Amino acid sequence: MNDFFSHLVYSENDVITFEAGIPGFEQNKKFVLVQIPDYLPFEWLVCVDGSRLRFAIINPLLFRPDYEPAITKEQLQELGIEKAEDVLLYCIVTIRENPAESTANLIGPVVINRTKRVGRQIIIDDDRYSTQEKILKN
Amino acid sequence: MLVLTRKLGESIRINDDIIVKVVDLDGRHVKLGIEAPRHISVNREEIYERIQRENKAASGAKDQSLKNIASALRDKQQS
Repeated sequence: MNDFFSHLVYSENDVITFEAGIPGFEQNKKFVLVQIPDYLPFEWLVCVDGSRLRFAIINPLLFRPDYEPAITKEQLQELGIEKAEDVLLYCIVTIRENPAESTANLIGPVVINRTKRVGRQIIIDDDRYSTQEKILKN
Repeated sequence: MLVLTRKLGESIRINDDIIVKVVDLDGRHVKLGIEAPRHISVNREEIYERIQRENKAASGAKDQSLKNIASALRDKQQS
Protein backbone atom coordinates (compact mmCIF):
# COMPACT_ATOMS: atom_id res chain seq x y z
CA MET A 1 0.00 0.00 0.00
CA ASN A 2 2.73 2.46 0.96
CA ASP A 3 4.60 1.26 -2.05
CA PHE A 4 1.55 1.84 -4.20
CA PHE A 5 1.33 5.50 -3.23
CA SER A 6 5.01 6.20 -3.57
CA HIS A 7 4.98 4.84 -7.14
CA LEU A 8 1.83 6.58 -8.19
CA VAL A 9 1.50 7.08 -11.94
CA TYR A 10 -0.37 10.22 -12.93
CA SER A 11 -0.24 12.99 -15.49
CA GLU A 12 -0.13 16.74 -14.94
CA ASN A 13 -3.79 16.87 -16.01
CA ASP A 14 -4.71 14.77 -12.99
CA VAL A 15 -3.30 17.25 -10.51
CA ILE A 16 -5.83 19.20 -8.45
CA THR A 17 -4.60 22.44 -6.94
CA PHE A 18 -5.70 23.43 -3.45
CA GLU A 19 -4.56 27.04 -3.50
CA ALA A 20 -5.10 27.45 0.24
CA GLY A 21 -3.74 24.02 1.11
CA ILE A 22 -5.75 22.04 3.63
CA PRO A 23 -6.14 23.41 7.17
CA GLY A 24 -3.29 21.93 9.18
CA PHE A 25 -1.35 21.37 5.94
CA GLU A 26 -1.46 24.81 4.42
CA GLN A 27 1.77 24.23 2.46
CA ASN A 28 0.47 21.18 0.58
CA LYS A 29 -1.32 22.33 -2.54
CA LYS A 30 -1.04 19.61 -5.19
CA PHE A 31 -3.12 16.46 -4.95
CA VAL A 32 -4.42 13.66 -7.15
CA LEU A 33 -7.52 11.54 -6.65
CA VAL A 34 -6.82 7.83 -6.49
CA GLN A 35 -9.32 4.96 -6.62
CA ILE A 36 -8.30 1.48 -5.56
CA PRO A 37 -10.97 -1.22 -6.11
CA ASP A 38 -10.50 -2.90 -2.70
CA TYR A 39 -11.08 0.39 -0.93
CA LEU A 40 -14.07 1.72 -2.82
CA PRO A 41 -16.30 3.59 -1.99
CA PHE A 42 -13.38 5.21 -0.18
CA GLU A 43 -11.01 7.11 -2.40
CA TRP A 44 -7.70 8.79 -1.69
CA LEU A 45 -6.59 12.37 -1.93
CA VAL A 46 -2.87 11.96 -2.34
CA CYS A 47 -0.43 14.84 -2.10
CA VAL A 48 2.05 14.88 -4.97
CA ASP A 49 4.38 17.67 -3.96
CA GLY A 50 6.92 15.34 -2.39
CA SER A 51 5.32 14.86 1.01
CA ARG A 52 3.76 11.54 2.00
CA LEU A 53 0.51 13.21 2.94
CA ARG A 54 -2.71 11.49 1.94
CA PHE A 55 -6.29 11.39 3.08
CA ALA A 56 -8.95 8.73 2.78
CA ILE A 57 -12.07 10.46 1.49
CA ILE A 58 -15.64 9.47 0.78
CA ASN A 59 -18.67 10.93 -0.93
CA PRO A 60 -20.72 11.87 2.16
CA LEU A 61 -24.03 11.26 0.37
CA LEU A 62 -23.24 7.54 0.38
CA PHE A 63 -23.78 7.32 4.14
CA ARG A 64 -25.66 10.59 4.80
CA PRO A 65 -28.05 10.97 1.86
CA ASP A 66 -29.60 13.99 3.60
CA TYR A 67 -26.27 15.85 3.83
CA GLU A 68 -26.74 19.46 2.75
CA PRO A 69 -23.62 21.51 3.37
CA ALA A 70 -24.35 25.23 3.19
CA ILE A 71 -21.79 26.07 0.54
CA THR A 72 -22.28 29.58 -0.76
CA LYS A 73 -22.57 30.71 -4.35
CA GLU A 74 -19.41 32.76 -3.82
CA GLN A 75 -17.49 29.71 -2.66
CA LEU A 76 -18.58 27.80 -5.76
CA GLN A 77 -17.71 30.77 -7.98
CA GLU A 78 -14.29 30.96 -6.44
CA LEU A 79 -13.68 27.39 -7.60
CA GLY A 80 -14.99 28.31 -11.05
CA ILE A 81 -17.94 25.97 -10.63
CA GLU A 82 -20.72 26.78 -13.08
CA LYS A 83 -22.70 23.59 -13.31
CA ALA A 84 -23.44 20.63 -11.07
CA GLU A 85 -21.42 18.29 -13.27
CA ASP A 86 -18.25 20.22 -12.38
CA VAL A 87 -18.53 19.35 -8.71
CA LEU A 88 -16.98 16.52 -6.78
CA LEU A 89 -17.95 16.46 -3.12
CA TYR A 90 -15.99 14.51 -0.53
CA CYS A 91 -15.45 14.39 3.19
CA ILE A 92 -12.16 13.46 4.81
CA VAL A 93 -12.19 10.18 6.71
CA THR A 94 -10.44 9.54 10.00
CA ILE A 95 -9.70 5.83 10.27
CA ARG A 96 -10.03 4.72 13.89
CA GLU A 97 -8.26 1.98 15.82
CA ASN A 98 -11.46 -0.01 15.42
CA PRO A 99 -12.18 0.61 11.72
CA ALA A 100 -15.92 0.23 12.28
CA GLU A 101 -15.72 3.41 14.39
CA SER A 102 -14.21 5.42 11.52
CA THR A 103 -15.61 8.87 11.02
CA ALA A 104 -15.94 11.51 8.34
CA ASN A 105 -15.62 15.25 8.77
CA LEU A 106 -18.91 16.76 7.66
CA ILE A 107 -17.99 20.26 8.85
CA GLY A 108 -15.13 20.42 6.37
CA PRO A 109 -16.33 19.07 3.03
CA VAL A 110 -13.78 18.98 0.23
CA VAL A 111 -15.18 20.54 -2.92
CA ILE A 112 -13.39 19.94 -6.21
CA ASN A 113 -14.01 21.42 -9.62
CA ARG A 114 -13.17 18.41 -11.74
CA THR A 115 -13.08 20.44 -14.94
CA LYS A 116 -10.76 23.19 -13.74
CA ARG A 117 -8.85 20.86 -11.39
CA VAL A 118 -9.05 23.07 -8.32
CA GLY A 119 -10.29 22.25 -4.86
CA ARG A 120 -10.81 23.56 -1.40
CA GLN A 121 -11.81 22.30 2.00
CA ILE A 122 -14.73 24.50 2.88
CA ILE A 123 -15.64 25.04 6.51
CA ILE A 124 -19.36 25.04 7.17
CA ASP A 125 -20.44 26.33 10.53
CA ASP A 126 -23.46 24.07 11.01
CA ASP A 127 -24.58 22.46 14.28
CA ARG A 128 -26.30 19.61 12.46
CA TYR A 129 -22.95 18.11 11.52
CA SER A 130 -19.73 17.23 13.27
CA THR A 131 -16.08 16.70 12.41
CA GLN A 132 -16.49 13.11 13.58
CA GLU A 133 -19.58 11.63 11.97
CA LYS A 134 -19.65 7.85 12.16
CA ILE A 135 -19.71 6.29 8.72
CA LEU A 136 -21.10 2.89 9.66
CA LYS A 137 -24.31 3.16 11.60
CA ASN A 138 -24.92 0.47 14.19
CA MET B 1 -0.85 41.54 18.54
CA LEU B 2 -2.23 44.91 17.56
CA VAL B 3 -4.95 46.01 19.97
CA LEU B 4 -7.39 48.75 18.97
CA THR B 5 -10.25 50.20 20.98
CA ARG B 6 -13.52 50.52 19.06
CA LYS B 7 -17.02 51.64 20.02
CA LEU B 8 -20.27 50.09 18.90
CA GLY B 9 -20.74 50.78 15.19
CA GLU B 10 -17.06 51.53 14.58
CA SER B 11 -14.86 49.49 12.30
CA ILE B 12 -11.33 48.67 11.44
CA ARG B 13 -10.05 48.19 7.93
CA ILE B 14 -7.44 45.62 7.00
CA ASN B 15 -5.68 46.30 3.71
CA ASP B 16 -7.94 47.98 1.18
CA ASP B 17 -10.69 45.49 1.19
CA ILE B 18 -11.43 43.98 4.59
CA ILE B 19 -13.68 45.70 7.11
CA VAL B 20 -14.42 44.39 10.58
CA LYS B 21 -17.22 46.24 12.35
CA VAL B 22 -18.56 46.01 15.89
CA VAL B 23 -22.27 45.58 15.23
CA ASP B 24 -23.55 44.64 18.66
CA LEU B 25 -22.47 44.42 22.28
CA ASP B 26 -24.25 42.34 24.87
CA GLY B 27 -22.49 41.70 28.16
CA ARG B 28 -19.50 39.52 27.33
CA HIS B 29 -20.62 38.99 23.75
CA VAL B 30 -19.40 41.06 20.85
CA LYS B 31 -21.02 40.71 17.46
CA LEU B 32 -18.69 41.45 14.57
CA GLY B 33 -19.61 42.11 10.98
CA ILE B 34 -16.97 41.25 8.42
CA GLU B 35 -16.80 42.45 4.85
CA ALA B 36 -14.12 40.76 2.82
CA PRO B 37 -13.49 39.66 -0.77
CA ARG B 38 -14.88 36.23 -1.45
CA HIS B 39 -11.50 34.51 -1.62
CA ILE B 40 -10.91 35.42 2.02
CA SER B 41 -12.21 32.67 4.21
CA VAL B 42 -13.60 33.84 7.52
CA ASN B 43 -14.26 31.37 10.32
CA ARG B 44 -14.60 31.24 14.05
CA GLU B 45 -11.16 30.32 15.33
CA GLU B 46 -12.29 27.27 17.31
CA ILE B 47 -14.00 25.78 14.24
CA TYR B 48 -10.88 26.27 12.14
CA GLU B 49 -8.82 24.59 14.86
CA ARG B 50 -11.22 21.66 15.00
CA ILE B 51 -10.84 21.15 11.27
CA GLN B 52 -7.05 21.37 11.54
CA ARG B 53 -7.02 18.82 14.36
CA GLU B 54 -9.30 16.44 12.50
CA ASN B 55 -7.21 16.73 9.32
CA LYS B 56 -4.09 15.91 11.30
CA ALA B 57 -5.77 12.88 12.87
CA ALA B 58 -7.02 11.78 9.44
CA SER B 59 -3.59 12.10 7.83
CA GLY B 60 -2.10 9.59 10.23
CA ALA B 61 -4.59 6.92 9.21
CA LYS B 62 -3.62 3.29 8.87
CA ASP B 63 -4.80 2.38 5.40
CA GLN B 64 -5.15 -1.37 5.70
CA SER B 65 -7.97 -1.32 8.23
CA LEU B 66 -10.17 0.61 5.83
CA LYS B 67 -10.59 -2.42 3.59
CA ASN B 68 -13.09 -4.14 5.88
CA ILE B 69 -15.32 -1.16 6.33
CA ALA B 70 -15.08 -0.50 2.57
CA SER B 71 -16.45 -3.93 1.79
CA ALA B 72 -19.18 -3.52 4.43
CA LEU B 73 -20.23 -0.28 2.72
CA ARG B 74 -20.19 -1.90 -0.72
CA ASP B 75 -22.44 -4.70 0.56
CA LYS B 76 -24.81 -2.12 1.96
CA GLN B 77 -24.93 -0.22 -1.33
CA GLN B 78 -25.82 -3.38 -3.20
CA SER B 79 -28.56 -4.44 -0.82
